[in-house]
Amino acid sequence: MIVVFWIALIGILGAIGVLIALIVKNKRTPRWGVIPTDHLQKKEVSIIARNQEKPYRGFLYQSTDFVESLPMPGMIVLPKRGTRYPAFEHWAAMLALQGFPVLAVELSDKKAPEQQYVDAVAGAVPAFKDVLVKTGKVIPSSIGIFGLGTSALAGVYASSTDPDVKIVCCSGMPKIDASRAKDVKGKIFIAQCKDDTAVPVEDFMHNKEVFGAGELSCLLLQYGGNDFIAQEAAISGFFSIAIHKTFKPRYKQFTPEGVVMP
Amino acid sequence: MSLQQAGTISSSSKEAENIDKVAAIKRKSGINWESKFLQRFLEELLLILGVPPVLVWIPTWIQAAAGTDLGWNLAGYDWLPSLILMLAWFGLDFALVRWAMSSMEVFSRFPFPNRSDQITYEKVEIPVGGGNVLPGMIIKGPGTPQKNSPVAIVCHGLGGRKEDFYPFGIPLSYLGLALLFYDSRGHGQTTFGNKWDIGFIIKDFSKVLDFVQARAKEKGDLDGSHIIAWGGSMGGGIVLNEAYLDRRVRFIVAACTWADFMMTATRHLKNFMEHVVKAGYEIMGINLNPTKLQNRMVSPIYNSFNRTKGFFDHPVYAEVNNDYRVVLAHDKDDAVVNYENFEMIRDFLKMPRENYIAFDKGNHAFAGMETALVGKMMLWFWMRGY
Repeated sequence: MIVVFWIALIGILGAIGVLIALIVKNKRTPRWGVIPTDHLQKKEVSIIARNQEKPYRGFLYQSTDFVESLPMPGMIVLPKRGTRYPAFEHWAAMLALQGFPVLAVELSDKKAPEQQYVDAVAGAVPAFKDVLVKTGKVIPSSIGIFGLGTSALAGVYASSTDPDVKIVCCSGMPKIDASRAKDVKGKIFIAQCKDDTAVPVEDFMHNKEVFGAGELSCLLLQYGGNDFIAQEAAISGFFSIAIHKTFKPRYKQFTPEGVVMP
Repeated sequence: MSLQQAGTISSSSKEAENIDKVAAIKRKSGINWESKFLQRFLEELLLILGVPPVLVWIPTWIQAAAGTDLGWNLAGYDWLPSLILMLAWFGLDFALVRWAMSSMEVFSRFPFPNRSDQITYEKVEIPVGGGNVLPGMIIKGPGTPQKNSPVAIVCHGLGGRKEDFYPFGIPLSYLGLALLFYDSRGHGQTTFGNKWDIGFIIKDFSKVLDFVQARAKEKGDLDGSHIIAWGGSMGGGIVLNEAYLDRRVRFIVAACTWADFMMTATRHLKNFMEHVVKAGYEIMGINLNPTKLQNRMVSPIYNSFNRTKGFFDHPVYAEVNNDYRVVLAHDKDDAVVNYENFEMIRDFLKMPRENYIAFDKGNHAFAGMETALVGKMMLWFWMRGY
């Protein structure tokens, strides 16, 4: 009879084990990651930048609603340093679903000193741009950059020497070196959370002054920290509108009278 | 005391709930005990959670009553195996509850309020007759014009509150819109009505439109002729029914909402979580076994599509440009409003591909899909001239 006890006990403990595993899985499932939808297509590419030993891992995104459309402005997503695929896909998807071909680059290098890292990424931006342009779906002179954290610095520095980069959207960006950010006024948009402990709000105020950013070019949120927790949708909207106003893309129009093609 | 009276502005659902607690606002309970589903669910739950810990004592009782040794003992104690099994089962019960709770976390994933000094919050009260008001909040961003601003009215879901959709709504304020969020009757900070007054909740939307138009005339900050309706879950039901029928609304954004309420409420449930969700709504007091007449009044494919308000406000058939008027979003793993609803609306209205988006994951809350949804939402506005 005691055998029944052991079988029952093992069964119950096994079930508890399965439930604990499921709880841990639920807890550890990252909030952000793959955006699974038929409306997006993506392709992995390897990007070799000049003076770089290791190739960058890039991901090209395009909305399937725009496959047949005319060339559109292209966007480069520079995620936070150390972020691995697919943790940045939600940013790329946000832009791609608006019709912009997007290249999101995995920037996982954690070892190099910050300055060296920023210089390397800024130096690789022309190579990122080439990959986008080669898709044939991008207007070469209309490129935008969406950068997070330190990577945003690289976007700003690259834009100051590249007239094709028309807009740089920077989230949680550290203090900029004003001497390397010339001729960028009007094309930089910045967002920050006041409770960011990694990048203090003073950095945001400094950057705002350097860029001469007005009320419509910057967004300062109360909460969210360095990762913009729970503010992702808000900054998505803010940057989307900035990008749209910069590029003024021509979309098919649904009107009360019917559909109007661009 | 309502939030409006308390004079406090909340910028998230959590903050609003805390204010409710401080102000001791309690809402009437309305457990739907008549529901056969709920009765069976609770019976089965009780059987699973509570009966086995009793059953494990049977061998001990038999041994004690008959005075025979069945070999049911450990270390010489015949009660010890039963006690261990009982405690193990309670452990299993606890793990089951924790797993259900962790699975439900997907529905509430906005831990911080959306607050910025650049966004303004203005409390308003929307009269709906009988001296009753719906508490509302008008939110404006830096891009919202001072005069004649287009308005997006945002409707929350069943059991929710106006703050729930701030994260989705606020991005639209940067687009140059003013946003009006409001608590439906029986929800949030309203002090009248019940959560299960679905028919009235849907009809109240026309009063919200009246309010916007009256305010537009009075203050001039809003454009009463330029109104967009945005709704999620039950809010989608509101906008696909009442807003769709009302020509004062230009177009409608409906997220994770139903096409046929009865089909949704009485469908075959696929897994344990869907049972938990359904039981949760019935504990809230919702009748999930509507009559055909009730269903016709709240299901857009029967009530509103290709119709407009006619004589006595009764829906009558009309020519409607659905390509312009309706955009739609849904998640395929939605455990509350099953995905078939999305397919029904999409096919019924013959929607062009640009006008909808479906994600494979995200459940009823678009968890992890929020940025992508905002991206697509922006496109919907730009494809309508914004």
